[in-house]
Amino acid sequence: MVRKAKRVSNGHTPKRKKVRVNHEKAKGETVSPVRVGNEALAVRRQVLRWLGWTAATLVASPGLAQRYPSRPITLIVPWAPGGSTDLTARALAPALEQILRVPVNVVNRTGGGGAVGHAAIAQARPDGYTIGIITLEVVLPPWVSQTKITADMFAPISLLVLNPVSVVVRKDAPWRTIQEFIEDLKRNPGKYKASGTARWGSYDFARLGFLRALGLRDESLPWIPTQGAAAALQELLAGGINVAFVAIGEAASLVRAGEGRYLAFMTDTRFPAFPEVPTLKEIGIDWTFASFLMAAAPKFTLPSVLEVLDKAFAQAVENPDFVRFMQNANLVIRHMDRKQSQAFLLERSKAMERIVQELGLKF
Amino acid sequence: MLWDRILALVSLILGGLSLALSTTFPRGQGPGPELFPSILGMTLVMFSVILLLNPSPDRHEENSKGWLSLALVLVFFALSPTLVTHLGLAVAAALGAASVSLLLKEPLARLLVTSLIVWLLGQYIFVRWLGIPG
Amino acid sequence: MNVMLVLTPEVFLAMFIAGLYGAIFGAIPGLTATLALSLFIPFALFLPPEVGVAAIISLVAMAIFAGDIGSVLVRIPGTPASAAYTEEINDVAKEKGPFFALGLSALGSALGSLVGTGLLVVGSLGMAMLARQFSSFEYFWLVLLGVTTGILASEPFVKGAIAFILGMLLATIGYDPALGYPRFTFGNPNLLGGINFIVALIGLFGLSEVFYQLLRAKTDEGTTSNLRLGLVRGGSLRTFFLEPLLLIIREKALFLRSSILGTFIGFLPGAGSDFAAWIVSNFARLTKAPKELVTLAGTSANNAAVAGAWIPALSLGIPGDTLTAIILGLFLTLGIHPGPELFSKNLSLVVEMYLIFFISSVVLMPIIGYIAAKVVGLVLKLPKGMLLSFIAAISLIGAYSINNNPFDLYLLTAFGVLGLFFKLGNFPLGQTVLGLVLGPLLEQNLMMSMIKTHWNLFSLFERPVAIFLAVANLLLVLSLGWWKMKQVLKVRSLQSRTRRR
Repeated sequence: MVRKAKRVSNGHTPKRKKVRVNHEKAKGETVSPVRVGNEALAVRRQVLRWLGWTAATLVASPGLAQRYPSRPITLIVPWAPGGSTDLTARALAPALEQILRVPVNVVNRTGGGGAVGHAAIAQARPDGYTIGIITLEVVLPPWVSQTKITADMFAPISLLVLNPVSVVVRKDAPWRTIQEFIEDLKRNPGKYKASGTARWGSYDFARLGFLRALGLRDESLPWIPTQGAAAALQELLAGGINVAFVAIGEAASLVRAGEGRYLAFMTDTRFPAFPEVPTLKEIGIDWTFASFLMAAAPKFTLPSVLEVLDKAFAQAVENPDFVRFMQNANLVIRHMDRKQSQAFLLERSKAMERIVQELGLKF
Repeated sequence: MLWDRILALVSLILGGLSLALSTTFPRGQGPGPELFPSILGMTLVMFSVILLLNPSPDRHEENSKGWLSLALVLVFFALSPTLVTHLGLAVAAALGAASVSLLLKEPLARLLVTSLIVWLLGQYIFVRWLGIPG
Repeated sequence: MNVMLVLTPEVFLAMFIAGLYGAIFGAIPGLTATLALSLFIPFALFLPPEVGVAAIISLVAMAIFAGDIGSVLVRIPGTPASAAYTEEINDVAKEKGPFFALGLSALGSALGSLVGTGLLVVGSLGMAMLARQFSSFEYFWLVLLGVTTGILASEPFVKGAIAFILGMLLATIGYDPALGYPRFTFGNPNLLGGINFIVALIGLFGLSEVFYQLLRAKTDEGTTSNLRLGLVRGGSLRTFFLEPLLLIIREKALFLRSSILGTFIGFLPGAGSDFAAWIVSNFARLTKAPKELVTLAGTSANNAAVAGAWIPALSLGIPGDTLTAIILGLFLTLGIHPGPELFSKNLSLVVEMYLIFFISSVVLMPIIGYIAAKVVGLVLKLPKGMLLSFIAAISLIGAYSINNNPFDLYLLTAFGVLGLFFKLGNFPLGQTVLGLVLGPLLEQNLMMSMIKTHWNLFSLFERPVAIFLAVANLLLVLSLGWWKMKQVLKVRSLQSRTRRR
């Protein structure tokens, strides 16, 4: 393999020059042998590593799980580069590499509104070398019924991130507190409009659960479909909607700039970055909602492998660099081990099903 | 003239299909998912009929001898998802370059050089460096 | 201000390397500026903020500019922002050589970006106020402006309209914006999110060319191929710098109009540089501007929009497009909080950003553009068969690497065939792409407006900016209708006169 690579580059130098002139013009041609050398070296290293691994496998295949992991791990992200899932995965990968001592490759498998990536995780070989980050969608009934991907197709590893949802209004909104807003809403059902994402999207369910807890219907606070949190906040500023349901972090810069106000958070306890904002629970509305990111493997992955990964993730989320990254990005690290994560997924699925039934939603 | 007719017919069918299918969409209060496809289907049908009745005069005589090579390359691209999954991105792309070169009757040396460059590009830039699974 | 502090050698080096990296990503179809940026973020976190920000600005600006390189080289736009005038710039390259085309693109981009930066400096706060007026009603009219110019600017009209509507229809595949119902997916989860725009772009412009050439089966080289750019003229500095510059000076009114409009569209959240390029180049097409001028308008608008997108990001904390969304996230991780307080707390950083915008457009774009032109000149000396093989392979790789989803290769092939048919029937390809871009925006904003007001159509005429845009639409349609009518009458009178003789 090494020899082949060299022969190609030496035999056809003129062709190579044409293509590479862009990179190497500044440095001149003397650079190329070095580069080829590096490539060859890398290939050789790869071959050696592979040989070592194969030999080891041949000698001790039964004890494979004990030495897990022994080769690179692929971490599938079902959403596009630049989103919160992608950024979390990319910030987490170096920390995981330190702990597991194998490369962790982040791969975006996007398309189909998250369906393609989630399916890729669920259908991967359950050997622990292909894992991924699953998101809230797997417990949302409309998404599940359209994609045929359910939460029980995954073996949860660790809950990583909870992004609690907030109720945001414009700075000049008539309501000072969430109680004032709720009273107004009960008196004038259907008068105000809300948004945060597409119809049946995550934040739509935050609203539906909120309405269900108040004993109101879907139509009491109609949902205006938008392309996402940024578009919803733009609508809020432009006066197109009255209230936005978006993650705390997504509205943080707007609130800090004094353009918007948080009325309440859908959290269990007060949120450290904004201690003055009440939770819904405090005022007697039993509803919490957060979009989440969870590391998960395909179903039937060996429990021992899951255990190794769970421990690694638990350690990785405490990495100071990762913590700083997440804090600044207003993403909330919330680790749960695999048992708790499993229970959490189940509880969320049930909660969403209950909303669908009690509000009589059709999709 | 011929192509105008064929394309007008195709778009007529597509427009009609979208009109027909959009009647099956669920309806909310007021127009919903069916509004846009049905408007678009209707206008598409309209413009297709106009084109079907007034095709533009032929530009020049087409010499289309390559139907066979076109069909062959289409077969390759129809197989490409399977090739990428089983052989990897770099190999599939190199095969693609090779088959196009072959169909264009390129000399063998050029064919090999092209495929090798594509393979190196795919393997080292895309798969290794950019981490694209393949 | 401690300006000298900003311009350290490290900053320059970071800008150059990041710019080159961005240019490579921008030039290759399928690798977007967004991807380049998100792959860069892990590195940016390790850099000091002023170096990281410099690198990012330069990366993004260069990637959008470099999209034109793909257009010139193989008629495939490297980024969506270049799709609006791909055919024009490729024709310009064929007629006057790639050096002139890329010079026009580089200088137009650089100066457009400069105008955008200027507006960014003077107008951050003021323009943000205007952006705040935009809700779905205003967006609807703005998008409709794009749709009407798109349909009316197409030539020939009926074929253009069919291509455009087909694009809009293809874009309805996937979740609908009103009820979240999956349309035309035929139970295939791969289609739930709709057709990826970039896959369509690569199929329509890239693969279709391969199919077309195979069908033509012209193996003899040197014939009037679509890809051969005639004689590749010597890459003199004169054709790269001086001639385009003179053209821009001569057409300064068009250039300024395009850049200002581009900046304005760029700072509307969600619109972005591709949309800016479409609207502006369509306006140029409507006035029957020659191909150089359409190119100039588009290329200056999309780069002006890059600067424009920073205006709401810096002043309100709302991203103008995906790129600025990522950058905002990065700022937060670096501890920089965008919003009005940025101007009081981190003024030096703001000034640095302005300066870097300035440098990247004045210094880097022409240099990197010139290097790119040299490379393009060399690549075009390759035999045609090789070039086509490369296009086929790059199309395959590019379409796959957007989503890493093998299914997209089926879509690629389908769009390649569609593009081939369109080429054979002399249909304008660009209109389909425009339909793909504008269709979802139009439907989304119409549905949003209507759901808000329970299908009260008058609500579209209730807000001041909306009324203004509605009137602009009406005037446009009327003036164009009148103008077309005049053309028809003129032709008729000419015909009758010849008949009488």
